[in-house]
Amino acid sequence: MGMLEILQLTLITAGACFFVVGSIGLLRFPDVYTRVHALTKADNLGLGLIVLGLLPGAESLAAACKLLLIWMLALAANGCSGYLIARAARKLGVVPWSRPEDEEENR
Amino acid sequence: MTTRSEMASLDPPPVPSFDRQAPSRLIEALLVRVSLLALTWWVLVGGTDGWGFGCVAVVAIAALSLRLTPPARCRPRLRHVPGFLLFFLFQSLLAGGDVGRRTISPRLPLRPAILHLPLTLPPGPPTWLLMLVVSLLPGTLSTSLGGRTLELHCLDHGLQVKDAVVEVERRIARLFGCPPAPGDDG
Repeated sequence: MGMLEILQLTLITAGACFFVVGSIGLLRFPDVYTRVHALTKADNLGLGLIVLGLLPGAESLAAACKLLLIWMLALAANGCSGYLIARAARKLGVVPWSRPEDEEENR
Repeated sequence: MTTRSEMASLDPPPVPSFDRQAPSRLIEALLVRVSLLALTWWVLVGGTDGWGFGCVAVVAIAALSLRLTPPARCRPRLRHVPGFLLFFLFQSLLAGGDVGRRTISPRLPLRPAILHLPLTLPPGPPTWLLMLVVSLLPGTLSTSLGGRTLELHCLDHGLQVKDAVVEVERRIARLFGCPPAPGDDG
């Protein structure tokens, strides 16, 4: 196994780990806002690392650009959907979770 | 022929700002959009096939996009795009690391808060980009935009969220070459 393959394997594994971390965040975090944080940021980085790991193996320049395009579209979708979910929650009056000691600051 | 008359009846009333555009700016915007769409088509098909359909699609989408989003005064400046991308990628890395650390830590170190920040960027694409980028920055999430005030949810009110957003605003203003808003001397 060459250096490049090892690098690719590392990047893709790291990317997959970030997806796992995002999913753990979805389960562990206390409310809708913090869960959106976990998913958008971890998935953005996870997909970015996987795309980076796959780039050297792309058959053609167009295929490599397609991978980058997928990432860019996922980024835009990530940011937009995260914002829309958070805005909908605000409109529905979902009170953000906070630590008891911070409670008075957020009212 | 029915489709044609239906199309005509669906046309929205002409946007006033559209008519006042200088023709040169309109042509420039059309060329830029056609080139970008043609590039996207090439990426999608990955070769020389399907260009007949591709040309039709590219021209139709470019015309529709000009109709829906007429060329704005502030547009991304090509020479500032790489610097902005690098900044964004680095921040994405920090954001993923930050949220990962908080997720894994047994103590679950979260101190969420809602913040309101006044914006200095002009409305339209620069503000949209800001809201998108802010949501992918470490510990911040755009939740709503009321007038010129951005409401944010942040994961930890100990983070220097305000400074970070001001920094992003400065970079987007430079990317778009927007004139600084009144009262902003940075």
